[in-house]
Amino acid sequence: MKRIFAVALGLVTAIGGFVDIGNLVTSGVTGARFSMSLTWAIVVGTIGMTVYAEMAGRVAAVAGRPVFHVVRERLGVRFGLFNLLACCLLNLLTLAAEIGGIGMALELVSDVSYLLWVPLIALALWGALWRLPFKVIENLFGVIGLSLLVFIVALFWLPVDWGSLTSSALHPSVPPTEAYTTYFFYAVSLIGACLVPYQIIFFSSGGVEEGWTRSSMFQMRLNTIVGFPLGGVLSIAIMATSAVVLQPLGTDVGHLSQVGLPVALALGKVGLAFAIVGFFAATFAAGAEATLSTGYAVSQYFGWAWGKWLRPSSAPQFHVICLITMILGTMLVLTTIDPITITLVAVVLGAAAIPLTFLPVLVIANDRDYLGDQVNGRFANVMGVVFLAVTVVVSVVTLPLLFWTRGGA
Amino acid sequence: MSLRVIGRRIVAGAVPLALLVSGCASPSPTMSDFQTKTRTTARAVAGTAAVAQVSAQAWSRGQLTDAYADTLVTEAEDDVSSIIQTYDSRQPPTAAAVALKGRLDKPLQDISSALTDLRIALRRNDRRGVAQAVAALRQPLTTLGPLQQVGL
Amino acid sequence: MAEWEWEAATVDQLLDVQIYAADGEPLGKVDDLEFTTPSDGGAPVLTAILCGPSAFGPRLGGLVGLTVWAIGRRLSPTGSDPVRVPMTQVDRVNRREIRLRESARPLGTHRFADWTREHIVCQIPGGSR
Repeated sequence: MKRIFAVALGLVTAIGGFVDIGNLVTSGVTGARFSMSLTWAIVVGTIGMTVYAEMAGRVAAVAGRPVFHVVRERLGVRFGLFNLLACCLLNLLTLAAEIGGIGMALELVSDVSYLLWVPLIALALWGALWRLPFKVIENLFGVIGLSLLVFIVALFWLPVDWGSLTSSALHPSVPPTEAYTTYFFYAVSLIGACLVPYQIIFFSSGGVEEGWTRSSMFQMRLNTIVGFPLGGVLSIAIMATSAVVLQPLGTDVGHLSQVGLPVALALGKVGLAFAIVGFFAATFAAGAEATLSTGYAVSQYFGWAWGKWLRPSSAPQFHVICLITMILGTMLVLTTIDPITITLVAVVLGAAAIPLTFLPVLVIANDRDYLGDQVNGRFANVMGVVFLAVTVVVSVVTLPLLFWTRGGA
Repeated sequence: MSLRVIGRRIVAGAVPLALLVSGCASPSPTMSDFQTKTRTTARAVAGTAAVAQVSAQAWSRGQLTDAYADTLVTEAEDDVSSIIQTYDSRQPPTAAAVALKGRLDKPLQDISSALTDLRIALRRNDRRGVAQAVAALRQPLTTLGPLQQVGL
Repeated sequence: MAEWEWEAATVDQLLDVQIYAADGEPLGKVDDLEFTTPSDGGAPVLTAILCGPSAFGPRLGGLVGLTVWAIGRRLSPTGSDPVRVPMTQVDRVNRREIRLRESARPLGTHRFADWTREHIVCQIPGGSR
């Protein structure tokens, strides 16, 4: 019974942890602009996340090696460092976006500008990281984040023309009013929102934190193969509510408040409460995870002691890196750059950076010295190579698209 | 001064900085560019105002909390005024463009002031005022309709 | 001498391998290696593993590497000499990790962690637990 509970808790956490500010924003924006015609991008991103996380999780469980251990061992000291800097920068952008997201969620409740919440949020996040155990951070907010499922309920409450919705999803086409470049820019943003470097680093390092072994493989696979796709379904539902309510109005989504509006129209204040709590929990958890990921990545690269299971005095460098990340992320939000813009830039650059960390994981996942009999099978390798090719294409086109469309304007 | 106003002041201070960095608005050299700009402006304002309208109606039906409705409407008001500001910074290249701008100016101003009325009414919890402001949005939004197709 | 559980094809495969203390505490990575040519003129022998910014910087090369090296030189009590762990202090070597002997602790491998703990972490409320 206890075991079933633990497994279910892990699964729920995986679903809730999948969705963060990136998914909320990109799904909301694209649903309103392109209806369901970019559903395929969420599907591609989610499959990619599943393949990558399963591999990284296996390396963590069997070899006890999280991602950035592997990055330096496989890619060498220089390219590894480049990788590390890219990842830290992305985590910083993501953290700023999440802090902005938490602030916007609080603004929706309090009517006080998100900027004034930022210092308090930073303190709360820091307190959580400094004092709360890993399990609590991961599971508590993952479970509360599940209240975002209200978007699925809302979808069934709204007057939906299911025929046109599914046909828009199944027959993707660029709307006549939109340029191809814009369409593909937002496709990249959706892929990037599902496939975030910090989530992979967190997932594999978290596995080591929880002491995964070969016997944890079932739980790990359940989380990646069932949990993440369910998270993807949730992203699609958010896109659909936006497509049903906001697209007919001709709205360009630019605020978190607009993403929640369809829920209010369908379910009223009760639904709205669930949505806001979901926004808060999802972004708070993601903010904590992005911060921890930076500490994990740097400590693993330099070989220092790391982990939430260690007291700050036992892993001093790790905790100091987390603190510095938190301070820099907070300062970035306080520049008053629009959090939605930061979010879009973060997910798009994140998509471009995926091959950097995926390649070494793919190599190690084929190494018998590390994984013994748990090396990649043929199916995992085919998926891995196809996925690597997709992400390489994505990372080549990302920067031109970002500048060409001026950030999807 | 409410906390929200302080937050808006901070953001308002950042906008000129952003303009400075981006090298100010570029001139619209041709009529077709100006038409495109007019079209996107009309679309953006219409879409933003529509959200405010729907939000206010939802608030009247008790589907939205005061804070949430206020946030939605305030954001719409700010967005519309910044869209108008950007549009006004464009130099109409020809006499026809000046005339086109003249057709757009009136509905834009009407929407902008209706949104301000709407926000004020919302914050005062004034149901009749909200209904009036929502009604005041209807006419300029209809006028914007054909302007969203200019030059197509 | 160290017990080798691994036939390295070339000795540079030892670079970037994780180093652990005798009690399992992670200490860092192999940043560089020291070879000594025996006095009788035979083939060079691996005599020590080197760690720290003054070993790490030169491996990066370029301006970045120089900067790292210069910062390390200023901040480290031993100047531009990296932390040197003689192979006699190494307990076990395999492809995934290097484990040091108990007696390796005074060599300076814990220096950076100790400094960070004392000067930063313990200054923060709740950090000295």
